[in-house]
Amino acid sequence: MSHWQILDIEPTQDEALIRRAYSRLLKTHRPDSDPEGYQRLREAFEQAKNCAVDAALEAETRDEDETAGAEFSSVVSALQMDEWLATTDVSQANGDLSNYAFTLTPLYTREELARLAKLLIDEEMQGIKSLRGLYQRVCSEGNLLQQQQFHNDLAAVLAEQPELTDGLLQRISDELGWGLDDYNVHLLSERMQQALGWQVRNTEREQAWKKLTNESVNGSFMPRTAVTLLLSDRTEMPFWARLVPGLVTQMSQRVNALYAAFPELLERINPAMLEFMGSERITLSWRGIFLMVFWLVMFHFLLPGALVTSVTGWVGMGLVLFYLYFSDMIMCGLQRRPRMLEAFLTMECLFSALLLCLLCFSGLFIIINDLPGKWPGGMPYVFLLIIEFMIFWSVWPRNVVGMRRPGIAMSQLISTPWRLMQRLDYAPISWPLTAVFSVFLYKLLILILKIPSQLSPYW
Amino acid sequence: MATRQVIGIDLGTTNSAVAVWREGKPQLIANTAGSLLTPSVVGLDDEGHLIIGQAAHHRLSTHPHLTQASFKRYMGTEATLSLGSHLFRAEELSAILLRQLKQDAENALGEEISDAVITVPAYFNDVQRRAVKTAGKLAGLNVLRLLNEPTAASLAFGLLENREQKYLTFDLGGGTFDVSIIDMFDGVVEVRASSGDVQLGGDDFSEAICQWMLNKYPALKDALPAVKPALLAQAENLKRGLSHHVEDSAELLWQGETWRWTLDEKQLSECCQTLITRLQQPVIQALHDARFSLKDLDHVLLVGGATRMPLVRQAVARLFGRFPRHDLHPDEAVALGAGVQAGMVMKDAAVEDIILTDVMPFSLGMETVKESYGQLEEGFFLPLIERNTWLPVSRSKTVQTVSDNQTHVLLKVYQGEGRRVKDNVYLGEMRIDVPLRKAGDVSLDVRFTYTLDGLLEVECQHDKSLIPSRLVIEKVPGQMSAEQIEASLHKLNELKQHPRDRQENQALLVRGGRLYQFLLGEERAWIDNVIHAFELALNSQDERRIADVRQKVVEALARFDEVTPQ
Repeated sequence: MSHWQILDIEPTQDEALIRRAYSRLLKTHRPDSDPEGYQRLREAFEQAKNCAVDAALEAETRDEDETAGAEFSSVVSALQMDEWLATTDVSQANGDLSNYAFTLTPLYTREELARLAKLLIDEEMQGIKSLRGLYQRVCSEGNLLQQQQFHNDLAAVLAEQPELTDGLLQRISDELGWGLDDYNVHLLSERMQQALGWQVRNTEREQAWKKLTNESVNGSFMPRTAVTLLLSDRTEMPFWARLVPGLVTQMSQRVNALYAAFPELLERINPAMLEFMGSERITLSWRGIFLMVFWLVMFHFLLPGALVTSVTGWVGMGLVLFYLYFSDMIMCGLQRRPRMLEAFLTMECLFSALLLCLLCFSGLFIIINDLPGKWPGGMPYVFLLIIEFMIFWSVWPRNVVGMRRPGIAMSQLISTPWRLMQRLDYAPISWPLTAVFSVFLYKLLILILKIPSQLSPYW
Repeated sequence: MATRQVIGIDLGTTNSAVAVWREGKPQLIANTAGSLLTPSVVGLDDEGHLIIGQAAHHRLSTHPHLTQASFKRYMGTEATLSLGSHLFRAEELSAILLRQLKQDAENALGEEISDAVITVPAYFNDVQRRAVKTAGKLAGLNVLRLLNEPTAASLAFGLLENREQKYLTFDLGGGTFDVSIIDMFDGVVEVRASSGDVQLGGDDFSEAICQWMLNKYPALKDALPAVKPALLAQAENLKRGLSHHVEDSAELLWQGETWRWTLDEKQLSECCQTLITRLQQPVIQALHDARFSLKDLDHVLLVGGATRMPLVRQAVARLFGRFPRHDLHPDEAVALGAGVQAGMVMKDAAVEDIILTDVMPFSLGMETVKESYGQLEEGFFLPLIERNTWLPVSRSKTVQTVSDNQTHVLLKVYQGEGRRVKDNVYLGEMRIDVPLRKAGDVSLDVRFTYTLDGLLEVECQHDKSLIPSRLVIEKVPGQMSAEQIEASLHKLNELKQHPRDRQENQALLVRGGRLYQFLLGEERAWIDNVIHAFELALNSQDERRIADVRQKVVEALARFDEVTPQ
């Protein structure tokens, strides 16, 4: 039932008609005897009134839009008051108040308010004191309309100050009783609250930007370079930037922080940089350097001494480089050619699966072959094998497309030492632990690499 | 509903009054001492008997530790007030006062009274209203309705001038300040908005004057707190004096020295400046909530004793840009309104056409959790019923669970305007068990229903269940439990009350004593004899003799009525 139906009248803008309908029906739906009926009636009444008021307001604003849009002029408000008073009958004078005169002098000027606002921003303590004085004067000399106007006028002037902070706004709000934190702020209009909020955000945004640009001047090498690059005018990412380990990470960290707080600031950053960071990229990082060195040492210096040919060493290094970089680079390069990409992925998958199986079976082979004979002296072997299985368990990827799994498993395997250090948060203790782990890895690799020679008698 | 006589009681901070609906209009009932207003003061005499009303008021400055006034301010709190060695809660003192008023009414009307309508400040929250109901219960009264004070005054005013009008009631009483905006048309008295300050009243003005007096002679500060009651009495006199004269003076005799003060209007307005500023905030809020502007108001109505002060009247005139009306007697208006409501409750034909609708001055809501920066933050207030919504009202909102596999939801109900629940008044809580689901999967419909009697009913149902859980907030923190009420009833019954006759006698004795102080020479000696004879008669405990001598005393005192300061 629409509210007009409940009130039993035709839709109208005449408030008097609406009220009469309401009061007529109220006699039968009294609040104390018929609470539900009364609620329905009252809701209908309020809605009907709102419709009428909205229509009237629209007509009014159409007329008002022509007049000067300044939402702020204490002089104007005083003039309005004078008009109203002239039409009201003030002659209901009471004996002892007949001497009371209604003077309506404007209590402050626009310049005064602007000066006060500036003072509040520059010197808060002084500003608050001045504000207090002005507010007391307004309260003790002004009528309600003037007071309301004062709150909105001050808010308007504050919203124009470019360095308005949230803290200052809170303190002013406490002082004047604006209650900006409350659910229903009634002293300031919606527009005013929005303007204030917007200005505070502006200030915070500029502060964040200043902090960023500051880093390009002061600060250590890495942040400085990162920010300089972000703010530069280059048309594309220089190649050397990829080779500085960790540089791109720093840049993307800052960009993400900016985006989270003030998305519009991204417009001020070099778009070429943004594009680079948004895309898939290959850069040199500490991880890459560490792993390359690690495996280089392993294959070329340690292992060769133990019955391993240099060919194996080169093959090993090749595999490492493949899984670290080449695989990603090829995939990047083949983005445009889906069929070749698919072919490559399939090959990589099969290849990695093969390698994994080889490693796995070699482990089993060792158990079957060597252990029975060397028990219980073979304890270290068991230990090694347990480590091998632990490694396999930790590298097997979950939540990834099936086809990529072997490849990712292999690359995880290769980066195990780095991951170990990462787990331990690069603490000083991690170095010796990694060293111990490397020794185990070394022993394991020797065992595995000896297998072909053990097998050769069979064929 | 009730065909028995219902009385309307104005339980004020400074004065209380009783009215009934009779012969088509509300009439105030005089108490046994003959006056229409009973001071809201309760005390104990040296034998441990209760003294209530005017007699207790006289003892405020002489026996401050045995007398309590303005206890309405403590309603709804756990504060205990002392009368000598006895401790009382504010509800108990109010109950003692109500009991006295009840007996006075029964005497005047000649029939038993058990139903009443009691007025409360519009800005009393739920806890405070329940305290008033408890006080009524302790006094043996069935409180049929709690009526807001400015609404009561509007009812009285509306009877006087029954036409279409919009006005604002400015009720500044002894301890509370209420602003209500009323829209009257076609016999409907509609309260559009209510606001106020329950810690602002005439007493605060007296306190401000007291501070000014102390600042004049800092040496007196050392004599605190012993000198405070006497000082306050003088401040009160100054305040009242300035309502009639442009300036007034007071003097205090303390420990052999005489201290003098002279206060004029300008100094008064200086020392009360902050209080006047505080008057503005509720007015602005009420106008905003009612969506009225100053132009929409036809007039401003002044109610409450403190509006007699020219300072207050001038402030109101300046604020509204017009002269306020004070057609109603400021002390009696609220009681008369309560009488009208009593008549309406009794369904008297004369007031059948008037329909009163009131509003809820506070928002009611529940505690919720908000998500900010990926973290859950507790303690936010979600309003379900916004303030100044009409009564009775029922509103509902839908909320969701916040964590995965949540077992239950704790629905905490609060009343107030703050954004955080710690700034609001806690009313009660309800626990609903929910099925285990992911966060946000279970949604709950919460419905708040607030009745005219001021009972909040909370209903909650989650979308996977068929039956709603219901909670009626019966008990709130700060309210007396059933056992406490039982204990209080015992305590109050044990305290022997002065037989009403003796109370009357006490009042006479006190009046005689003051007259003695005032007179000189022969007249003084004569009064002394009269009082002495009365005291002997009282000691004899012979009722007949007491009655005889009392008559003579009353006549004697009447001779000096024009000259005695009352």
